[in-house]
Amino acid sequence: MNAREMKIDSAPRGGATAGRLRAVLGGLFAARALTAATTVLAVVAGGATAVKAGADETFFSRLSIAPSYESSYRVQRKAATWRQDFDVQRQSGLADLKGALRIESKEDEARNDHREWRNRFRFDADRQSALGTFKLYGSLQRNSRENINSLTVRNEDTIQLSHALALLDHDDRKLNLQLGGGWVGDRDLQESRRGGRFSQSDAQASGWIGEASLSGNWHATQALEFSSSVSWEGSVKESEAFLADTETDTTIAATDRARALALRSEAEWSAHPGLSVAVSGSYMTSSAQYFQRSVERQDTKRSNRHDFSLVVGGEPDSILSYEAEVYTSRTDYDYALLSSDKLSGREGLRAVAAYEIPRTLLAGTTVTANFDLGTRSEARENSAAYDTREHRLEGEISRPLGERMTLRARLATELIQDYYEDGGLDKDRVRDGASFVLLYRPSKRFQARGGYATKYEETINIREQRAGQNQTQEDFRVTADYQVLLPARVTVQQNFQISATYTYYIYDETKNSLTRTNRVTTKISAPLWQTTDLHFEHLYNKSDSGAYTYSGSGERAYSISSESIRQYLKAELGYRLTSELRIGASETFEVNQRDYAGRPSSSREKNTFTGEISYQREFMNGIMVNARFARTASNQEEDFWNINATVSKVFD
Amino acid sequence: MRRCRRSLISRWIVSRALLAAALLGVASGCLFQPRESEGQPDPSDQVQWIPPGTLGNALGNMERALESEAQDLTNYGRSFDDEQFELILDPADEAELGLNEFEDWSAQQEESRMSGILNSTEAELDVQWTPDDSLSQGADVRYYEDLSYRLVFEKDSEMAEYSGRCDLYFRDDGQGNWYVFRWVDKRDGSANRTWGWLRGRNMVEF
Repeated sequence: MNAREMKIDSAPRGGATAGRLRAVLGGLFAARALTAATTVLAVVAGGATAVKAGADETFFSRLSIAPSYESSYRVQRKAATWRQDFDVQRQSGLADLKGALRIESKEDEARNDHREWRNRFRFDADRQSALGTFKLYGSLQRNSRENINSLTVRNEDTIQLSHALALLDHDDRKLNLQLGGGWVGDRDLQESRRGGRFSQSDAQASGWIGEASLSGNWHATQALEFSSSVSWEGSVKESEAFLADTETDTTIAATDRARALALRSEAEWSAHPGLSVAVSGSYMTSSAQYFQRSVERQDTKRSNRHDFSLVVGGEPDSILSYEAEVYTSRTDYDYALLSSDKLSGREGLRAVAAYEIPRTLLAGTTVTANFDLGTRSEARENSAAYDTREHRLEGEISRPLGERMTLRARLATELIQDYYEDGGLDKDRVRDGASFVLLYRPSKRFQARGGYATKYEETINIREQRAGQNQTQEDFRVTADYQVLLPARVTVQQNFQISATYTYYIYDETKNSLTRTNRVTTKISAPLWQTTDLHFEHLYNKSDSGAYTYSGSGERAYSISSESIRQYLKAELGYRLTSELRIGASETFEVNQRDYAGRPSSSREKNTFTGEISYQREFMNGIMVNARFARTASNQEEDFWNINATVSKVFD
Repeated sequence: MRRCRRSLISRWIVSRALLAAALLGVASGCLFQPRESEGQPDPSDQVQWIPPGTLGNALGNMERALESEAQDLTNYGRSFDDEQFELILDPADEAELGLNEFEDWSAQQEESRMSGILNSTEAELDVQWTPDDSLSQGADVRYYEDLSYRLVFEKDSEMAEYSGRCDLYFRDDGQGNWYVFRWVDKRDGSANRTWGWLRGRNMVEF
């Protein structure tokens, strides 16, 4: 029994499946080269444990093949996956051959005992010669998912010749032509069964493909360069598909045509460090037509894309750099099959500049400015077309205060506007922000930061009936953090934050609210001795929120309606028993406590403990083992396993 | 001489940049001026927003916004992390749609897409989440694994049902509020289409 027959026998039994699979495989592996390679693969599989034939030359090196095997087993809670990969490659003057077999099974107890198997065999053969390229590709897949048993067999063969020709080959001018063409054939068999129902499709297609490209570049002067290319590819395929299900069967004969054309041009001028100019443009068009002869119906799928960009930039001296870009891009999809035509585009101007102030008093101060002005457009079949206009201006200043301290300030303003063709969903969003950060770094072992940030955000729905959510949000935040590296490589990080967010509704002041938060995060890492790692993480988050409305005295007053405290603690300990074996334990403790005005308070505690063991080793015979087994116990859910184990070997 | 020339060029650029900045400052009055709303809404159209201090509150905000008669999805959009939102479709949906627009997705696009879908139908929407216990990934990330959802659109005698599962990841914004930053959409094995498919098709299919 050869490898091919072995695979047929492993297919699901019953019905027409096995018989049809045999029939298709007969065609699928008809090519002699493919059959030969499959046999080689079977030999390799059988001889995987073969001993070395000599001191310098092994069984596999004599055959010029490099097989590898990997088996991985993974468990995540109640889902288990087992995957086996067997790859083999052979490189010789005649051809490059690659074969890959993957067997995968998956089970998930939590999803109604969901079971899924995927087996895939793939074969590639590649022959490069002065005349062109010869390729063969074969793929066999079986997939069983949910309670559906399905089978997919796919075969793609391509015989292609291509030739590259240098039409012009001077130092400053080059022009290359590449031509190619060939024959393609594919066959696709699918069967699926679910309960008493089944569906089946068997599609075959074959035809001709061609491609041509012309590319060139020209150095007009040392500072000026042009490059351009044009490429075309196309195919014509005749296909026949047999479709059957429990009640009906149909045969569809069709002609499939596809073509794509791409034009690209670029020019770059860079004579002066203070000024360089780059222009690029491209146009791509593609279309695919699918004509069903039996019903004389044609489905089409077309796309066109234009891109243009002009970039001007430079660095006139060491203190100034700038870049500005004008761009436009437009893509038009015409996809009649699913009535989902789409037109999208974007255009705009973007500029960035950085300047280091050369005054003695402000030495080292850098000012950076960004400006963006753009419009994105989108039109989809079945829905209203809209444009989104985005305006953004951002400035940042970085100023050293002595050798250990730096001040950074940032200001940004942004306006985003949606314009719908019928105005129904028109909306504006305004975002302004300012932040100041003081960075203190007295040594390599310690750094600290203090900051203040404020943000203003306004949402305006233009249509009256959608204006209920129109609101402004004001956010104020004070932060501080430090990081210190103590002796024995112990690292401590702490972060403190106090913030307040005011929300004002434009048309209903009674909904105005305030949320306040205090937050402290602590992280400690301690590599104790050479073999032990200790990691500690703690989060404390206290927040309250409530109405922030006008009181009888005419001033806004805050009344707390809910308070919450969240604490998260994680302690992790790892111990390296040997260079290959490590054990670890981690414990997390999480508390969520809530108090609501006028309602009973709630508290929820979640405690988990995970014990793990991991092993990593490369054996003398080249077998690599990498495994991690972890078991988690929790007071909120059933205990579960997390396993990730891999065994692999490259046979050489 | 060369140094002097470079300095002159630099000064020229700086002076032009300052001039441009000044002009921009003047122009910014127009560039950064938002529009005004057309008028005062009916108070009954307003959708309740509860600070998403728990994952349950966050799901509730999304549900109320989607079900609101005013079809104002501001609170739906606010439920996502506005700096990073990743939407991953079920591979089978992605293959069938043939066009994956969600590789570079954002909270703003998510809100626009769902707004567009809901505004193009007169059907009433009922949203159901079936959450189990959430799990944590460190102190700042919590997630639901295989969270089941069901969307039912009803219009006259017609009904369209979407259902599926998703892994829904939330990030703490530093103030104890949770916002969605990753949505991994999955088919649930039923005959229904998923929420990811609804987004991809951009329309309710009865």
